[in-house]
Amino acid sequence: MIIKVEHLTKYYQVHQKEPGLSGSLKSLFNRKYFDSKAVDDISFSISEGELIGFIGPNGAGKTTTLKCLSGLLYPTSGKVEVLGYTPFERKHPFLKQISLVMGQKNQLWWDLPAIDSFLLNKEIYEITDTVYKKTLDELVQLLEVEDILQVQVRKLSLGQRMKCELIAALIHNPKILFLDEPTIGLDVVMQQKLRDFIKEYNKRYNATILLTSHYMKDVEQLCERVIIIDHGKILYDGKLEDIVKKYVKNKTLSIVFAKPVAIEKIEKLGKVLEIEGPKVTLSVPREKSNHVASKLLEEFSVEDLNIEEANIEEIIRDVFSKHKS
Amino acid sequence: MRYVRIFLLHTQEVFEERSRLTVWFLLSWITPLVLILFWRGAKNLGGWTIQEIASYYLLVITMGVFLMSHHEEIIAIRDIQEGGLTAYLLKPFSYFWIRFFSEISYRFVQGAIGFLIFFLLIQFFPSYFVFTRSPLILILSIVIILLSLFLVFVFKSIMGILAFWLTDARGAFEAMGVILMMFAGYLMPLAFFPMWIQSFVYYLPFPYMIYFPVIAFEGKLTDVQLFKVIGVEIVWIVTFCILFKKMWHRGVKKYTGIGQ
Amino acid sequence: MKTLIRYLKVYRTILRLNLVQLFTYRVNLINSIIGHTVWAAFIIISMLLLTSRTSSVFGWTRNELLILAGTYNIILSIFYFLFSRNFNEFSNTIHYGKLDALITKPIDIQFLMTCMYVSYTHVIRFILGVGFVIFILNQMHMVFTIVTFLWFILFLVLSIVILYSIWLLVMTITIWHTKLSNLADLLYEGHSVSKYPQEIFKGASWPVYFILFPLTLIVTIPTKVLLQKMLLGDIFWPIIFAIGLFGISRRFWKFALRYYTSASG
Repeated sequence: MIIKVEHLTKYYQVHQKEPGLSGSLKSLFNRKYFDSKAVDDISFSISEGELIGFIGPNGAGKTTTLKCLSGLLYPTSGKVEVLGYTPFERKHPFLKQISLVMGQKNQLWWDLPAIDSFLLNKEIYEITDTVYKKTLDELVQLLEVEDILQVQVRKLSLGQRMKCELIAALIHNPKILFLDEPTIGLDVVMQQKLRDFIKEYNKRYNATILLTSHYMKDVEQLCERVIIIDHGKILYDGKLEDIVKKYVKNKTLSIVFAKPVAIEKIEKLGKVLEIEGPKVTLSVPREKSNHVASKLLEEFSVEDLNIEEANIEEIIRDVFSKHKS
Repeated sequence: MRYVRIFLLHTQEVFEERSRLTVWFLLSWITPLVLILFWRGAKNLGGWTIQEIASYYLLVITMGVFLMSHHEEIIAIRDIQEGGLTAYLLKPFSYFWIRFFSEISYRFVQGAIGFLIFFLLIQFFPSYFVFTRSPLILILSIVIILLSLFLVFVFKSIMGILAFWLTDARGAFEAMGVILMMFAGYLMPLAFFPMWIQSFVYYLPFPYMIYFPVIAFEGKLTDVQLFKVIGVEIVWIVTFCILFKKMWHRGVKKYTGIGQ
Repeated sequence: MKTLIRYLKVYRTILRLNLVQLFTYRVNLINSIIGHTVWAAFIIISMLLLTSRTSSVFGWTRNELLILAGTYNIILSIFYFLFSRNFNEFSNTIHYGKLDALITKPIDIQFLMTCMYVSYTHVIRFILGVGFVIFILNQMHMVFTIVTFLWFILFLVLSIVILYSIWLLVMTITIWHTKLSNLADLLYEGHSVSKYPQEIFKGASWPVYFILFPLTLIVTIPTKVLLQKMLLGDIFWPIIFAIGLFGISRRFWKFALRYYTSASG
C-alpha cells in the first residue's frame, strides 16, 4: 500500500455572522463558532500504480483530502501515510517523490518560455543532466509540445499552458501525482488530449495518480476505481462499473417495432415507460434484460432494439440527492 | 486562553477592514515627522521657529490629502492602456469633467478627514499650529487652495494622457513624483532653498500645488503676495487647460486610429 | 556544505531566469532605470537642499551628511537588487494560492519566497551611490584603507541582514491578512528613516526610538566606518540585531506557515 488513510478528519473553524451592521455588532460581542467539517473521518488505501478518481460536488472535501495527502494541510485528526512518510512533516525525500498540480494555480514563470521554468525545477529536485534530458524528451513527445517550449508562457493558450504545467510537475518523475481539476476550463478537444496523456503516463511509468474532477468524463474514461465524497464523507469506494450494479436495478430497452403490437403483451415483459408511435421504451430488471431482449426478437418483428446502459453522471447525481434526503 | 483567542479574533476583524487605510495613514506621517526631528538639530532655520516648521509639515500632510489627486494612473493604465477609455468616448459627456467630478468627490471626503485630523491636533498641540487669524487672508487662502486643487487636477490629467504616446509611463510618473516632492514643498519649505533655486522655482507651477496654499494659510504672505499667487495660479491653469485640450485631441485621434 | 552547493546551484538558475526576464520587456527596463536614477538623485539632492542653509546638524557636517545619503543609496540598492521584489510579491503569492505550489517543493520555502526574484536594474543605483561616496570622500581628503574597506563590507552585510529580517517579520503578517499588500509601502517609507543621522532620534519619545533603533543603525554605522568615526560601542548593536532579528523573523515565518497549513482552505 502506497497510501494509507485512517480516520482522516479536517475541520476548519469558521464563525457565523448575521448579515448587516447589527449582525456585525452582535457578532462582535457574541460570536458563534462552528466547525466546518471539510473531511469527516474517512479511510481508504491505495496501492501502487492505481489511477483513482475523487468525485463529489463543490466543497465536498476532495481538494482538502488531496491537500492533506500532499502535505499542504495539517489534519485535525487521523492517520495519513504516504510512501511511508507523514505528509505534513514535508520531509524533502518525500516531497521529491510526489507532485501536486492544481488546475487553476500555476508555477510557471509568466514572462519566460516554459523551458526555463523546467530548468529551475531541475535544480530544485536535483535531477542530473542525463535524466533531465531523457524525461523532458519523453514528456514533450507524449504531450506534443515541441514547438511551444520556447514561447513565452504568457502567450500560450490555456490548454498549452496546462500541458507545460504538467511537464513542470512531472520532470522529477514523481511516484505519486495529485491532480486537482486538471481539465478545468479547457475545451473538449484539449480535455480529451489531457485524459489520453494521463492514462498513458499512468501505464508507462506505473505512477500512482489521484485526480479530482467536476467532469464525469474524466473519471469515466480514466479511473477504474472511484471514491465518491460528499459532505466530507465517503459515499462510495470501488470500481466504477460496480456503482451501476449497486445503484441501478433496472435497464432501459428501447424498441422500434416493424408492425403495430398489442401493448398488453409487452407490458408482461416489463414496465412500459413511453410509447411513441412504433417506438416503445421499456424498463426491466437488469439481470433479466438479455432474456427480455431475446424474447422480444423472437416473438415480434422488431426493426431496431437498444439496451441502454444507464448514464453514470445521472446515477451519481442520484446518489448525491439520495444522500441529502 | 479561549478569551484571548476571541479577543484576538475580534481585533482582527476590526483590524482587517480599517487596516489598509491605517497603513496608508501611518505611512504618510513618517517622512514629515522625521524631518521635524531633523530640523531640531539644524543651526540656522532661516528665521522660522521650530513650531512654524512643525506646523508647516503637519499642514502639508493634512492639506496634501485634499489637494493631491492621483488619477493620472487611472487615466494612463486603466483607461488608455487597458482600453477603458473606449466606453467613455461613446458617452455624450466630456471625459475631462467625468474624471474631475469622480476625483473631486474623493478629494472632499479625504479633505474632510484631513480637516478632522487637523482640528484634533490643534486641540492637543495648540502651540504647534501656527495659522492666520485674519479673515481676509483666510478667505484669500481658501481661494488659493481651491485654485490649487484645480491646478493639480489639470496637471495630473496631462500626466495621465501622456500614456497616449508612452507605452509605459512609469518612468515619467516617478520623475514627476520626485519633482513634486522637491518643488511642491513636501521635502521642506521652499523658503529654505538656496537663493538661485528660489529665483526660478516660483515661476514653475509646482510650488502652487502645495507650498503656497500652506504658507498662505499659515499667514506668511502679505496681501499683495496673496494676490500675486492667485494671479500665477490662474495663468498656469489656463496654460494647462489649453495644453490638455490640444494633447487630448491629438491623443484621441491616435487612440482611435490604432483601434483599441 | 552539500546543501550550500545545492542552494547556490538553484540560485544560479534563479539569477539566469531573472536575467532572461529582464530583457523581455525593453520599455520596462528603460522605465526602471529612469526611476532608479531619479530616486538616487533625489536622495542626494534632498540632502543638499536640507543642508543648504545650515552648516551642521547634530554634529554632522554637510559633507558627512552627503556620505550618509550616498551610503544609503548603496545599501538600499543591494537590498532592492536581491530581495525587494520578492517582498512586493508576498501578498500576491499568498493571496492567489501560489504558496501552495511552493510548499510542495523539496527546498526551504523561505528561500524560495524571498530569493526567487532579482531586480538587476538596481545596479544603476549602486553604481551611482558608490561613485558619489568616493567623490565626496576624495573631496574631504579621507584616507581609504583596506581595513576600512573590510569593516565597511562587514557592516554592509549586517545591515542587509537587518533589513531583510525586518521585511520578513512584517510581510509575514500577510499570511493572515493577505489584503495588506500596502505593508510593503509602509516599509519602503520606513527605510527613509535610516538616511538621517542616528542622533536626530535621541530626542524622540522612547517607544518611537526603540522601534526605529535598528533602522537608524543600518546606514549610520557603515557611514561612521567610512568617516573613521566608528567607536567600539558601535560594533555590537548591528551584530546583535542582525543575529537576533534574523532568528526571530525566521521563527515567526515558520510559525505563520504552520498556521497557513492548519487553517487555510
